[in-house]
Amino acid sequence: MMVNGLWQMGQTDFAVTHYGLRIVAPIENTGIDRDALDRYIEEQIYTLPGTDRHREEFSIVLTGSRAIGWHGCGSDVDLDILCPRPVYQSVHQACFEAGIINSPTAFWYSVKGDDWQRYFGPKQVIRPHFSLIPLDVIQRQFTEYDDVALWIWTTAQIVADPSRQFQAIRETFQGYPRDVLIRKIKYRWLLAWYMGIEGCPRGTGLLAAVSELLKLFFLVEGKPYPYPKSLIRLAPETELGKEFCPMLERVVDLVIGKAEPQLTPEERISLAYHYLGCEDGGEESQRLEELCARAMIEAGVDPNWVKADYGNLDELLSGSLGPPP
Amino acid sequence: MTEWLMADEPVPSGYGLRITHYESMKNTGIDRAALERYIEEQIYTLPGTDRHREEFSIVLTGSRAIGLHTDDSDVDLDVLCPREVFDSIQRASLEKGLIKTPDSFFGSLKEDLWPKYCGRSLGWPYHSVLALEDIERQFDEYDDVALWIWTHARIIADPGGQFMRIKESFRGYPRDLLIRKIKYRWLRAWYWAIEVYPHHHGDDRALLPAGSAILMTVNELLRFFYLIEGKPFPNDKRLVALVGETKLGKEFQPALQEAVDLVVGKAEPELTPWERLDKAFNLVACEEDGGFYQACANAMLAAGVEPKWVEADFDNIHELLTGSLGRAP
Repeated sequence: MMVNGLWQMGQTDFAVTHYGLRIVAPIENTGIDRDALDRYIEEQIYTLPGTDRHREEFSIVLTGSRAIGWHGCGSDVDLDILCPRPVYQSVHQACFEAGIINSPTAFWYSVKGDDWQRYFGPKQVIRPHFSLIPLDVIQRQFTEYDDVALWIWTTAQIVADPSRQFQAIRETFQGYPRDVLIRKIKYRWLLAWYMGIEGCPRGTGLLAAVSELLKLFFLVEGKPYPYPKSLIRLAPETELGKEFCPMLERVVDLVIGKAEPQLTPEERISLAYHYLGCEDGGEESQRLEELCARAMIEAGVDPNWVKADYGNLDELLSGSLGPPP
Repeated sequence: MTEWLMADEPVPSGYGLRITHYESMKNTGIDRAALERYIEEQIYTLPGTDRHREEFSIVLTGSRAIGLHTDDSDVDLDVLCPREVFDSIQRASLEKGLIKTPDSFFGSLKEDLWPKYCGRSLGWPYHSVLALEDIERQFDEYDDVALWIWTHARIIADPGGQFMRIKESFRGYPRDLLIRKIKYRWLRAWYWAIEVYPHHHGDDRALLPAGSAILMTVNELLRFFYLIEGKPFPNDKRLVALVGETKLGKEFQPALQEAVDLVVGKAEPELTPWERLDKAFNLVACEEDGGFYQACANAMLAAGVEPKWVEADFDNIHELLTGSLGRAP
């Protein structure tokens, strides 16, 4: 089959598949069989109604655990198809009318039929699926510095990208502007303590506080953070995460009851509350606070703001740093 | 002298304040005389203005405003004033060392002072100073929690009705906005359960996303229960306590509470953490849910959500993930 679009699956490794696709790419470390992926794209993506220029219009990217090499053998193969808005509208309408997708307002497709494991093997537990997203949405996410979206798209592996339409957007991210970053750091810091102190039930609040601190660990290094499922696994890649993830894991273990199971839930949660430093914390939580304060100042946060700490809470509650909790 | 709006009839206080009663301080557990003294000494003495009574609206928020307080609950006061007054007070208070925050105003007393007003048994009194423009923006943006807080606030003083005018501007959500909010909360609930919950867990580090997923699903559903009735929802602290006011909350809150109890080991502590978490997940996401899903679907249809959208359900997830319904998770 003749293919016009260039697949970019590697930097130097050009190859010709059964389908004659030109593939350039580190599909290695994704656990995906290249032939299977080619076949899947040919049969499931390049046959979508609503356009006959799939190869010229569809950028295809691999996201999720396989894109970052954190997959297991049963992990999903998460593909996103990105295309210009008019193409999206045409494909969406045609697919909705043909009963290929169910949503009147979004595009999420999963492979039909009983033999859906034919592509990626019997260890797959969820039907292969992909989404179709207008490129202007991705562009907006970059313009708005949407952290999780930035993380997803900057860690995505590009499978096909005609005219570099996705890559051009991706390359616009060269780090957060300083004022945006400072606002984000303040927001996460205050939200962490707000959730820890005010969150209810208190267990919910403490887990949320841990997540917010993990996000902060990325932001003080100027990096976007991943989605919730990967947060605690990837946070040790940051300086603060390397030191404090074990402590935060202990907070989680106390809340859930893996640690100190002989205590009542109230006792465990109270212990976690103090351990995290929401009230009269110990040495470790003081060190967490000190190093976070130092990292915030190094990232450009006003030292007076850092010193005032939770006294700045109304900045969070009034929504001036971002959506209030 | 500006009128205080605290009593049914004008009441001369020890400070000569005329208290007119707009919203009673009954069931707040607050001694009126103590409150007046606090306002006189701590709020009407703030530097940066000499027209406190003409410029400051004062409202009681928090648990005492809604009668859910305990003896040691804080006394949460918010002082609302025009932006230029706020800026002046904020700057003057910072310079005098009354506050430490460079961009906001949160006032609390030194520990040895606070029993002076409320006694040792009552919670700590706090006051924030906020710009009325920020409150107005929250109303314009239909910020749910803010709407809930301000529409439940008890007005103590309100010169020129400046706060009441904003408060009365909320007459419910516009229909299209409400539908968007309902969709947002519904998809967020299932995003946490389906996308975040680690279904094939083999690593205890996944306890964080697992526990968070269930607790967040529960909280999102509680918010959904309010929105489906066209009401703003309270902050997390009050969600569980108040959700019984809603029809769906009354029916399903006990099951959701059980899921929370399983997460923290209050229910079935003899099970391992993962056994409890999986059980909690099944409780919130199981197809045999005692009519829960159908009740929610019916409520969405009644609120005006398109039937095809309701039918497509989680297939609409990219509306959430692309941020077209609100901030993406």
